[in-house]
Amino acid sequence: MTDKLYNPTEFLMPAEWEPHEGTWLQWPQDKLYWGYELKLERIWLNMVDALHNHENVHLIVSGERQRDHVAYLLKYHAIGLENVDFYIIPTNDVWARDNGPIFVINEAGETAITDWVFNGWGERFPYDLDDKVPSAIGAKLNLRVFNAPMVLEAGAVEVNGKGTFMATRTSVIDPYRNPEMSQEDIETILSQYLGVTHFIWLTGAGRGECDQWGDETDSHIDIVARFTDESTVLYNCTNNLSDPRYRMLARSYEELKEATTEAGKTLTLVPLPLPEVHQTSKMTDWRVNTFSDAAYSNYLIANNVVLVPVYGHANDERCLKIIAEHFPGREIIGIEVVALIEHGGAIGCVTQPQPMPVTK
Amino acid sequence: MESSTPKTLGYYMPAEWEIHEGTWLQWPHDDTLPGEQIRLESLWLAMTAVLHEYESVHIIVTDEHRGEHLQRQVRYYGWEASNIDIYVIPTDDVWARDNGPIFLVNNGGELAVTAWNFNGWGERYPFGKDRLVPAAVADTLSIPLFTAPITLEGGAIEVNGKGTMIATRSSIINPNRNPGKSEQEIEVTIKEYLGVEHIIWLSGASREFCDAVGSDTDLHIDGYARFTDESTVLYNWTDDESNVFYPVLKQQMDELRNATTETGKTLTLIPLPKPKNATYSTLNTSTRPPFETTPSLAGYANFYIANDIVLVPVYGDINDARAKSIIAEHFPGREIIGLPAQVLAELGGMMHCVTQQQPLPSP
Repeated sequence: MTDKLYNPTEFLMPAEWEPHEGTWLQWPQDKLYWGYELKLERIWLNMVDALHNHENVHLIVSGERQRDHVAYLLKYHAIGLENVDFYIIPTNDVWARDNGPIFVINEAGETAITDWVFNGWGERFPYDLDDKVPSAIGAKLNLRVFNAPMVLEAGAVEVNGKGTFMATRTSVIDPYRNPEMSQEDIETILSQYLGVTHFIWLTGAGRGECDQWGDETDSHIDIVARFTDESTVLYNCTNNLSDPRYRMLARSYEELKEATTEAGKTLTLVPLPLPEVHQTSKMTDWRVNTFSDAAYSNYLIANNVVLVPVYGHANDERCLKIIAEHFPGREIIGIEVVALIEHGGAIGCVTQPQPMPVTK
Repeated sequence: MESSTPKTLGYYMPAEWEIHEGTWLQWPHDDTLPGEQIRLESLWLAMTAVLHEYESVHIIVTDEHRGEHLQRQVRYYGWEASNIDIYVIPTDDVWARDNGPIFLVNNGGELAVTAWNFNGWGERYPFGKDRLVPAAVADTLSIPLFTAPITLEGGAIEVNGKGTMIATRSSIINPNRNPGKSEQEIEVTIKEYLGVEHIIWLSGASREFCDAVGSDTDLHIDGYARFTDESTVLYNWTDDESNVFYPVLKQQMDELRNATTETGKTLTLIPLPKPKNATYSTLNTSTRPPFETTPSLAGYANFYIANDIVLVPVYGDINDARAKSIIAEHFPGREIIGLPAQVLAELGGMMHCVTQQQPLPSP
């Protein structure tokens, strides 16, 4: 089960707020949806602009043509190429968080890659190319790659960096992802590959239920609840009874109240209101009108900044303030993502942090 | 007034749904508002990508450097370059509807341009370059230019192509545009220069109200009521009496109910919802608290009718689909294309405000 030459348990996945080497992004392409690239280009430019003065930005592009195009755009828009580099790796889609890699570090100051099986969120979308991204990055960076023997998306994983892992059962212990694996089997692998010791499992919402709000992930934790330090959790909430997420979130809250950290401490729970955003603007599918899974919790914590998705909703400013209070000293940068959320995710879903290993 | 006005020469402004030769756009740049190009370019690329499949797209760029940038984008996306023309004409901003040109046609199959002394919506914004756009376009196309002796923005007027125009008084008969001019003088000028016979004047709204809600146009009609055929009008409506717009929308509805077309026919009035959740600006550039919440003017009435399609601004709101359905019912045979317009709406306009149709004259 574990790598024969290296023991992955020497490594651990740090919390997102710990120092980053950089952030990985997969540039949008028009393969899946007409107009995807041009529609999303602004959001990707905004993310690079907000990040590259604080950490490296590693851009995955489809080929030399797209690389030259993106490099040109960054120069044209006066963002520049400082701390930006390009990797030509074929992809299916933009969700760098979910296809991975999940980076892990050890006390010797080494970085390694954990490569989990990615199966398009339980066979919902094409994944042949995205599944190979972690090994391609490992080869290009000449990093150790640990092949974990189960399906996992990083958006399904939230860690406090001290040993506590938080996830929903529906997005991990799922017959479309890990059939015939018990919770115990799964926890063993997670412990070995992510260096976690303690598990908070929320019920989540699986197929049938999460479809009501356009969620293709079976309730990834990054649209339910996020750690802001080792024992504080921002949890999504709504008092809108017509929001189909109401029940799932109320249930999650009850479960979070019962949860503890690895040290046995109860969690400090801070409510983060949801926006109400609908999936209605997909150019090819305009008659669809369902709730989206829009949430403010789908932010990215990076060096000195937090990139927060905003929607033009009344709760935008309130949530920016709440997030700011929990990340003192960091700038809070709102990025408008209505064109992205209709495809099911926001800032957190399309970014993959690479931690900076620290020698101890 | 000149002796040969457009009307005496047989020119008139056709309705937007009549066949287009093309659409004019002014490409966003950063010279007036820092960050505007990066913010808006994805939407301009999307409009160009869609429109050029159905009609010509004439794009005004403010200088050669921006022109090269755009040509590069056209090549990268592999668009049919023969349907996209790029013209270098200096601009202040993107609102091609308002600075014009407003095109006219006549029954001889000829095209002309009218210019209307654009003054930045009553001197609210820079306008020195934008006001010269109509003359530059007329010159570029070598077609007649008529300069009207009043200030008028294209978004302030809505025509049915048969002789009726709807407008709000507050956006035209206003000392910030036309000081010292009477309603009668203005009406005569509009009739002569747009070839209309009958004007439906709505009240619009006071400057105090417009400042409170952030309307920089003094309530242009193109955000509030639109013809879909010669006697049918879609108008913004909400049943929520606590909505800040309710008194203005109620008054507008009452005035439209009493209005008739040029033939004396009453209007068929169809309510168009507003976004259910008021939409707010995401333009906040502060990165530390306190953050401020500012409402935006997002709505659906500011759609743009082009050949075979209608571009509709959408926001991820629950009413997006309903608004698109209503618009679709009134434009049978046209594809309804929703484009996320939040980033534009918070600057005060939507698709109609940034497009200008060039009709295809037919003899």
